Amino acid sequence: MPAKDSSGTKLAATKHEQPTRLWLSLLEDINKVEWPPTVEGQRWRVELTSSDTLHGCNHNGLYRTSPVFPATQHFRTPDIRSGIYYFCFYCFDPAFPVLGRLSRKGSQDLKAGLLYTIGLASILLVTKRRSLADAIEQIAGVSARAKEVWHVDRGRIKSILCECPALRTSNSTVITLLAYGALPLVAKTTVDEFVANMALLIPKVQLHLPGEMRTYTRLVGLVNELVNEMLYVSNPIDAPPETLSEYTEKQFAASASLRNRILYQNIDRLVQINSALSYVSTQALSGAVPILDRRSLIRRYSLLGVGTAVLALTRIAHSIESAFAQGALEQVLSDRGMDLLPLPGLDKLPDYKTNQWKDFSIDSVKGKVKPREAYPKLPYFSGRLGFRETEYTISAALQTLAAGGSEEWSLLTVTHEMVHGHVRNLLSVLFQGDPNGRPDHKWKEFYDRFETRCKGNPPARENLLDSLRSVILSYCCTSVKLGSLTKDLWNPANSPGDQEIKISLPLLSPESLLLVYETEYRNISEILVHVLDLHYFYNSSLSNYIPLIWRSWSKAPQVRGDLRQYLLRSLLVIAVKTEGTPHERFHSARSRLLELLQSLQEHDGARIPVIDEAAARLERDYTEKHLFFSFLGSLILVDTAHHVLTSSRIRGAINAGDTHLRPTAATTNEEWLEYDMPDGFVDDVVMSPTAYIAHRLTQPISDGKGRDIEAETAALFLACSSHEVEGVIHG
Amino acid sequence: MAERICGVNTVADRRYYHFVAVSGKGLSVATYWKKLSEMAEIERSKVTVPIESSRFTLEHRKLRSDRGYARGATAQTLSEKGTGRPPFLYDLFAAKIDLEGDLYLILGFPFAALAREAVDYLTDRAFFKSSEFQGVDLSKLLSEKNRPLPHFDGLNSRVMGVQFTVTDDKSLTSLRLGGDNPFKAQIYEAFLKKKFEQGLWVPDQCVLACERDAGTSKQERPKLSGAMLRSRLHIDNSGNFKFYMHVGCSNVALIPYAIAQIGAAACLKEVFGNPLRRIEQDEVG
Repeated sequence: MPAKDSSGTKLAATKHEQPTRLWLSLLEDINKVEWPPTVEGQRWRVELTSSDTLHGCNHNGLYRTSPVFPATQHFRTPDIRSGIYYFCFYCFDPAFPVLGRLSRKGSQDLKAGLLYTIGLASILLVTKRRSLADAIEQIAGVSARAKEVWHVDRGRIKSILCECPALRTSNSTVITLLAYGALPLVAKTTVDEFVANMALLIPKVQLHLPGEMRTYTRLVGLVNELVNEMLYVSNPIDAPPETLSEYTEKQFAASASLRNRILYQNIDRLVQINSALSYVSTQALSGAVPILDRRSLIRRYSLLGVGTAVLALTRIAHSIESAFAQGALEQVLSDRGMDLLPLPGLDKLPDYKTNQWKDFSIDSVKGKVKPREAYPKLPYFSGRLGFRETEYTISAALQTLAAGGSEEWSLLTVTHEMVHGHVRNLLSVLFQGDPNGRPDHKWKEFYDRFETRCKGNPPARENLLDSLRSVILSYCCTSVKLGSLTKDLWNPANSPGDQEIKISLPLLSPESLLLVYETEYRNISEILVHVLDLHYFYNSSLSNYIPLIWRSWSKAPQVRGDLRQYLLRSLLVIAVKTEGTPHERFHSARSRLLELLQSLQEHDGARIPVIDEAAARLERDYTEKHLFFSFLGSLILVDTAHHVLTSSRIRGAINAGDTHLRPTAATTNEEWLEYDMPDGFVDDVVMSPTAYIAHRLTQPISDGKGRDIEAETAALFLACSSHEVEGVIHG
Repeated sequence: MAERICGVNTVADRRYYHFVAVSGKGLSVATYWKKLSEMAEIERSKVTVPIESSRFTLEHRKLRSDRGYARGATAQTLSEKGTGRPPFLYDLFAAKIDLEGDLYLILGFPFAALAREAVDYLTDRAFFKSSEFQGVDLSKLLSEKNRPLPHFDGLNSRVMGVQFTVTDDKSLTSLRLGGDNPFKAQIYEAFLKKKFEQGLWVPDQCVLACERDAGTSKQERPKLSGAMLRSRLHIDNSGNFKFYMHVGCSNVALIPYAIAQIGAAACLKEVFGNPLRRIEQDEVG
């Protein structure tokens, strides 16, 4: 369309060239020894430096720093060495919609000084006009939870004003532990550590993250259970507590080994909790107002910390855990599993028929499902552990702080880890048996019933739990012959050819089967997790799932070292959407994987070596030799997860009520739900953070080398921390 | 052979028009035309808009552009000289609604691409700075409470279609129900109702069939007295309104009523950014 400019073309919006990375730094004088520190005495200097690297800032001596990002294209870097400036830090919860309002309604002056960060004080205004500081809250329409204003004269801090709400409750209302004085020394000191950790953490959490108090209240409850068990095993008189009811008083009295095992297990759990609390304390709350009170231990963010990033991780984990709690599959299986009909098609194990499984799935369970209690997870970032989930914690790779918006370090990997927790719970329900039964007796019973099933006779009163155990134990038995994700048993005598494959089930002894189950536990879990992750968080879209996981794997050194396993994982998850004989499914999955990997081989003009290598292996007869048999043996797990263990309640709960999701125009042969929210900050909240991240990863704001992934990642953290799932944790 | 009717003497009709709604202070149709005239020439048309009302203002203009948004016979009709070659004259509508003090500006375009470019142009020049794009809260509009939608100044609207986004079923991403009354369909009553009420299936688009006797209001002086005005209004929750224009755009007068009716039911809500970004590329033109 002709515009009325000289060129006769439509005028493009003028875009101001953004500065490169901005660093807000506080320079300290190493020679100023003063306690308590005073603003006058410390003579802190402030710098706002534009540099791609921290080293490029050329700071000398001691300093604290944090990357900060312009919120709009109207930002202008101020010359803070001349004149008076006010640095106004705001902790809004949520900050994302506030930034949306400020971006739209703020004056040009306001936007010229508006920045955002991943600290708890996530909105920063640098201005010469003090009155603009109040305008922020007026436009926001809400008061900041806390705020801090630095009066900076020619780069030197003259005064600091902090505004923080007062604490209303005392610690004692939260930390009510059983008297643990009777515990052995190490157990006692470990609990002491927990008490000290909580004493440090709770007041700040109450102040800055009040919504998270439920997690800590629940954590105290869990620790009390552990303490109670330790107190009992230290002096086993009377009946054991309910949480140890699978053992008898007699067994405890007779077996020092049992007592020690439980004691050390619980100490180990407490150590895990304490370690996570230390992380949470230093990561979630450093940088909270008063900002200079604590220095973040992640030094690149030592000034403002990473509180908003931790909050985002917390809320992502809560939203996922809340969905799992809504589905309450563990509850359904443990309460009703014994009464549910067994899966048909298992008469000739390891062969099986899935054609009727859908009618026996977890979704077909009639009656109201009561949501279970959600399990609290302590979230943190770790450079050493990367993405990992344990009973009490969820960690994300430290790299995601700057690159979580990229495919390689995608924050969405958290979903995979969270599903691991879900699968662990499911497997534990399947093998829990009678809560009052002895573990060795239970295993014998499971084995006997499985043995009967293997002989073609259904065990007495066979139920869904029996079937699911049979599936897993059958997998274990065949894995000895066919291999698994981590076991390549190929030998030249084995070649599948094109004919139908017949496999037999080598029934192992009870002891061997237990050993194989324990060895294969991780592989079983991985396969189930991949299938459920695909369905719950990637909308069952392989054309989005496979590229995203391979992009994230491309940066993990262990993947190249164990490429077979990752190829096999991919083939198995693709097999979800294949039909036919195992051989046909294998070939179909291989073609699909190859097609998807080939589209990934070149990124930003560079080859991705691990993907090149993976694609090359798929093109050779390597797949037939080294992948087919393990694929064949593992298919039963894939089909079980796909047909029986996927819950529409969980899938629905993950995105429930979020009106931004909608079908997109399909460019592939799969449907995809996009998250329809404009780029940048919007005056709205993101109710379904996993869907939001998935959308951002599959439809990046911009392509190519001009992308500022760190700025996008910081905005992603703000978006993902914008909605707090209610009622996740029951106290 | 009859002389071809084209350019300024015609109106692009029997097609869907794309409308967006904005709400805010200081909005006026005159300012809109003025601002748009900075982008391209705006001319008064010879087609009369059949409405005059104290509550609504509805105006029609022609936008002259060298850019083609149509092919074939449509391009010929829209071209100034009937040759199918530039310049073309496009029909634009703009309405202002005063809904008990809340002001809305409704902007209509015959082509999605033209709509998107014009709205982007105005956005870049801060025309919408003090106003917000309006979309429809479909969950609320389609809730049981609003079925049937309360009459508004003689306008009767009923739901003719609804599309749900499905998130809980691994085999389905969306489902569209069409018909005289989809909410009375067995499938809805037996299955969908619960999903909708639980927020698991969220309505993403709907179609309203709107009908009004042109002479029912005392406030207006209809220029098509006695006729029934009818149209379908396709709505999505991003803020797109697609309205079917009959011959000569004679039913255009319905559009302010239809949007006012949604507003009166408190189902208009702020949306973010140009709603037309949601229009699929293959619809453009």
